[in-house]
Amino acid sequence: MIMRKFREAYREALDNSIRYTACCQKIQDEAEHRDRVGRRRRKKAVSAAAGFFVLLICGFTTVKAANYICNRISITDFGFKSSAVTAESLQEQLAAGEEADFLEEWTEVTEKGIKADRVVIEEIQERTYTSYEAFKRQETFPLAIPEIPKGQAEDIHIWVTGENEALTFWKKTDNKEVILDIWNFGKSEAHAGSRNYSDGVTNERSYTTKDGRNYLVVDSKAQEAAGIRIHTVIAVGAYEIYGDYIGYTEEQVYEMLESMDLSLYE
Amino acid sequence: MDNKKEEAIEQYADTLYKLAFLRLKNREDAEDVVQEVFYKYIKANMQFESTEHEKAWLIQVTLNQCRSLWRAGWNKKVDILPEQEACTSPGMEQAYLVKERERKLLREILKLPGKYREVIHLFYYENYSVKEIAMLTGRKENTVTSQLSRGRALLKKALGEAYDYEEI
Repeated sequence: MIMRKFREAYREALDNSIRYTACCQKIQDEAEHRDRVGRRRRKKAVSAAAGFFVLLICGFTTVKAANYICNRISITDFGFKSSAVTAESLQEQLAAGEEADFLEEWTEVTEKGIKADRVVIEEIQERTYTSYEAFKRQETFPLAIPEIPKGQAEDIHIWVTGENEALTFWKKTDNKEVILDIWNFGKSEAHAGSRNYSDGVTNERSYTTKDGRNYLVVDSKAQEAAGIRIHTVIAVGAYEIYGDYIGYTEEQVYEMLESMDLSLYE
Repeated sequence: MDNKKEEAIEQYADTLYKLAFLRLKNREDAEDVVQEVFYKYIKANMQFESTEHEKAWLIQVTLNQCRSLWRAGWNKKVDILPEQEACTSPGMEQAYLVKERERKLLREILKLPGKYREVIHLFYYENYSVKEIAMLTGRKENTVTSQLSRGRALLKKALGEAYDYEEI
């Protein structure tokens, strides 16, 4: 049997499928350039008010929460870092002799901190809701909302990203804010990420709820006019739940953590 | 813009677009990347030693631009060829089969991990040597060799022994 040269076959296949001609006018146009920069920024902005999340995901498959091993979340000088991998994925990678690359990628973010040009959440097919009711009518993403102390003026936004990969909940009550960033890693075989707050964090501690859920808790070094800013994180099943509480006392934050029904994520 | 730059844009647009598409798996982003690379090219006013140097610079900037937009994340459908209509005459059958083969080949390429896709493309499509790929991507030659080899192995597994990969 005569084998075809891969080089030729690949070139033909690509040339027959993709052809591109650039428009010089469009390239030089400053307005077009600003649009392109704007599009990139929007794609990178996962949630404007919350910390910046850098994420690395290896492979996609349906993963049962229980299959995750090594789900590690820890505190850094600037926030949190997390990583997890399934036993199956790890075995496959090792069997394929790809451990070096795989582990290099997997640990790159977690061990060395943020790489500025590294993975950012992209292809944001984001849907926005301005009420919980509207969100519930359209979406299936599990959302455990804490009991937030009532105020005079309230504003709520919920963003759902992609096919239920991530959700951001933001509620402003008077001059206080609660932001929840919930990441669903149920389709990934492994991931590593870090959530960073530009002012850095301090006073790391943990808080265990009455039903035994263990949160990592830090304070922001930022001085807020509204009061302190507290950040929390917890992993439940294939989900990671990051919380930013701005203007609330520590006691109020713990009460809110107690009120969240995290069994939704199991 | 001077004629030389316009010529370079015309000459390399397709090359950079293919590379960006292979990396990002998305036409719209690939177009954005290419336009941004050329925007930088126009603004940077670089002096190149040769056309090869110019092309290498453009490829490096494209790869860096792609990395800043890297789509390792979300699970999205990628289909670079529109679905074909069923063939209606015997003469069309051959063309249909060729298209199907091409579609399968490209799909398997797109399934490769990004870094394998990148080196496979630079090696087989752009005809760069391992040494040149190492310079373009900022990797060690051994790493490029190993990535080429793993990429090929994955392709062989997916496509069978239908192709001669001219292994180094």
